[in-house]
Amino acid sequence: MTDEKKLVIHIDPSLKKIVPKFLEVQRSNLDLMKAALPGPDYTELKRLGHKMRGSCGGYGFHALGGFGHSVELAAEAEDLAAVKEAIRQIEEHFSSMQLVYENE
Amino acid sequence: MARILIVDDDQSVLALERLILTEAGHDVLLAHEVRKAMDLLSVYPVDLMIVDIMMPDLSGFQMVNMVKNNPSLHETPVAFLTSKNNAKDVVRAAELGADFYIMKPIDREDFVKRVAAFFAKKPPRKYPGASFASPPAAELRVFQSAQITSVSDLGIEILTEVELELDQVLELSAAVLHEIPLKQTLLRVLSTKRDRDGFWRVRLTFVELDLETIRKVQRWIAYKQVRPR
Repeated sequence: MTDEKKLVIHIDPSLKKIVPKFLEVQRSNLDLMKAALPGPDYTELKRLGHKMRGSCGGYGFHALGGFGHSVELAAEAEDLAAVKEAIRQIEEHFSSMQLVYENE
Repeated sequence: MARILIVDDDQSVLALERLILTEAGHDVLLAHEVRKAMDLLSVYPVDLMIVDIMMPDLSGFQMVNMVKNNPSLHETPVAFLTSKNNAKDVVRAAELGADFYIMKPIDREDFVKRVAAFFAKKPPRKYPGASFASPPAAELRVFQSAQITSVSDLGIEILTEVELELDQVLELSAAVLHEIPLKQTLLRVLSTKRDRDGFWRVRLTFVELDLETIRKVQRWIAYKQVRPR
């Protein structure tokens, strides 16, 4: 992917030490969401989306939190196509994000 | 400075809350599940517990219900931190005796302000040994990589040249008591701060709740090396 397509996310530098763990947790949540698709396990998808929504904003990852919310709402409505689309957006977000700590 | 217990099954939320609250000068205990939180409360009284509502196994509501029905814990102040914002939950939180309610995602400034406002109304208690006060100089021993600078009932503080990561678990490889060698004792990095002279001032908290061991460590503690696990 070219730099032009990178999505720059500005992060508070004081969070630098805990952001890697945060991203690890969110990537793990994404894997769990994908694992819940066959079935599909809407209860689990709703829970994971809810968690993503709750944790991302505090770190400054507002868009990711929004996609988590989309998963939560779509799972609640048992709308599999919308769940898949939200998960696709999360994957795309992960692959295009570029973190910039504000003082760097 | 208050002692605050945070209960949340999301490790990234725990890390963020701990960072915010330790920067605000509080001592913070963490639990990722209700069982662990109840274990902590049985050993350490706290000035406030901040509890997530939606957790696997037991919910935050169930935990607070247990606390409020426990005669030795029922006065523990409670705040719920959750992304659930429906009216039913707010009512349920109030019925359970919650002191306040904070919404996720965490707004750092608002979070600190709300906690400070709570302690302005209900000042934290002073727990014996809870502060990280320096022990007498005679109790300090300098080793190759770390020096114990203070001890509290939450853990210890060391001064070291080694940069440690938050949450890193260290093994207390050679703690010397008066008579008995300690069994393996693990400590987790709670916070790190660079001193002007280039050393790292690191707070470590005990990983396991073995009160007897903790007391022994507090009586006499020594590092021969900081050994990451």
